[in-house]
Amino acid sequence: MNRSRKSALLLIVLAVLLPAVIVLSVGTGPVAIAPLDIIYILLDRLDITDSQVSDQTRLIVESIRIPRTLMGVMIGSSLAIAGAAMQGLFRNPLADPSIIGVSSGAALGAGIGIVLGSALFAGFSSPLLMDYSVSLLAFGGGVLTTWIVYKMGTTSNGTSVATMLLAGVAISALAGAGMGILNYIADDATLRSLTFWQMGSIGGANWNSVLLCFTLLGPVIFSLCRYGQVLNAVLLGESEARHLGIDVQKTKLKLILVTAMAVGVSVSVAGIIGFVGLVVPHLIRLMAGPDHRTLLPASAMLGGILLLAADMIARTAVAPAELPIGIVTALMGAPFFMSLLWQQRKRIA
Amino acid sequence: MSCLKVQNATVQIGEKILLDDVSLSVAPGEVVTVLGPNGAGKSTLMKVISGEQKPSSGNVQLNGRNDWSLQQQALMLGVLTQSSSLSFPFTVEEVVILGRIPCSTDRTQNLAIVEAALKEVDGLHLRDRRYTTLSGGERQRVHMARVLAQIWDETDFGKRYLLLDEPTSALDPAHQQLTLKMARKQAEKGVGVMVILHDLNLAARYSDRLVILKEGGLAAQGTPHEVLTAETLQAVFDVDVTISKHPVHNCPLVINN
Repeated sequence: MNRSRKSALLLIVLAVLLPAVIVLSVGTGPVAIAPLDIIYILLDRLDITDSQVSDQTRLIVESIRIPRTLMGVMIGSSLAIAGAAMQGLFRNPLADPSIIGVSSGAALGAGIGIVLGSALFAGFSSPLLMDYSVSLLAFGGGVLTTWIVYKMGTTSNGTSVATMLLAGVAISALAGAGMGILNYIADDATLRSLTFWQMGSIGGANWNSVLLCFTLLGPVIFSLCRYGQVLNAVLLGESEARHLGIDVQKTKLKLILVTAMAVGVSVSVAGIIGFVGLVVPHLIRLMAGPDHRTLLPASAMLGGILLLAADMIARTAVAPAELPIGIVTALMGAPFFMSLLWQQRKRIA
Repeated sequence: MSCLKVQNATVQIGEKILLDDVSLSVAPGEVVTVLGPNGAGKSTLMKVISGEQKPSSGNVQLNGRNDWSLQQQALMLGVLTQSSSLSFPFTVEEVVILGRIPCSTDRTQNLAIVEAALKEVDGLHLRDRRYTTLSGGERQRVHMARVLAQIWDETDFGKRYLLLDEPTSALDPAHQQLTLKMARKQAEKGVGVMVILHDLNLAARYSDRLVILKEGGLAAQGTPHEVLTAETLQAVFDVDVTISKHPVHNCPLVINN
């Protein structure tokens, strides 16, 4: 089977799998709910049916499981597609949004919010601002670090990807030190919430955060999907892409902003969830080749699917308690990543 | 006016002058070869023409204009750079079809052009191979095919040009010949070809005109007979040669003493 057939097939399979996993995710948890009941609850809402599903089940599905699942899909998709876009832009299959400093900057912002939030925002009486202070600071931290790294890498001759990578390493180290200070000064209760936040969770989802994800991440995913052919050309090299009629400088700026948005928003609502952005594009490349016209939309779908799978493990493995999802993605992702490196090593030898 | 024209281009970065008041032109249908020692400014000249490097002073005109959009320029000007950083496992066909990005033809037409372009560089048998498994010379030919595919069709904007930066550097002698014959064939189709070479005899055999750069400036310009003299080569390259007549073709033959 040639690659374009494989790509089409893969996209179809993923498009069928995603809704199935969504229904499964809504049904999975300490209280198991049958897929048929979920469909009934949705149809009841639309006044199409009038079923006998209990109010308790209804409540679990509508105010806990559906928001959590929808947020998981959006975050998984955004992280994966942002990873695919960064790997293309940096022409490095090992790149990840975290390498340009977005994740660590966002983490530091959130850390400041968690540890110093009550002091910083003491003057504001608005409870809404208190609720969202961590998210806002995380998002701000992500955008700010990305901007610094981008500025450091940019001269009048264009943006140097290598300089940006190095600047990202430096900024991450700096943000790590900042986190260390926060850990050091935090009291026991704050330290605990800081630690948990760093391990990531989509358990805090509610309809407000879902709305936030859809309004901010929806456009991100949609706009990144349109960069397929441009990123293919960029893989040839920046001069080569320019000779093919592509405004590389403008493309870089847009992609970096959009990625900062994707990662900043994700980190701000769900903490740090690693490996999704790195592993998902790899899996797609193994199945359908490196063409970004398939890679981008397929990564988005598979990212959503895998994050939901990880979340289902997170909330059932030690039920009624929950594992932080970042631990699950790291446990699944890190061995996979090491096996990739192992294979590459063999291929070189 | 149909030609590729560089007027008094100077490139200065800091204190260093990379290109010093160079003027030249490439007309449709001719092969112009740029020669010069390492660091003479050949690649800088190429970058100035392709628009990648803005000259400090002077200008470049493509078919009489210097305000084409990047996409319009891409339809008229194909550029083969010295090395590409491609490290993802595209198939050869997928790499060559990337050359069709600026063009508005459909996939069936593009695939036919890819096949024809690969034939031109003796690379049709590589079509389904992974790019990452190719040798250096094979990769060079694949990129050559990609650039050919890019300017395959005539366009309403004007005449087409090819800029080839050392297209033979990784090739065996047979494929060096083949590549320059291909360049001549393109010229016969009305494409203006500018090529950077190091092999003086290849340049003599296949070029209409030669341009020699030295330390950023123009050292000599003219037909192979006019330019390839023992004195010029001694002055520019610091080599001791004898110039003879090619036994078969009407071109000079450079023999190392």
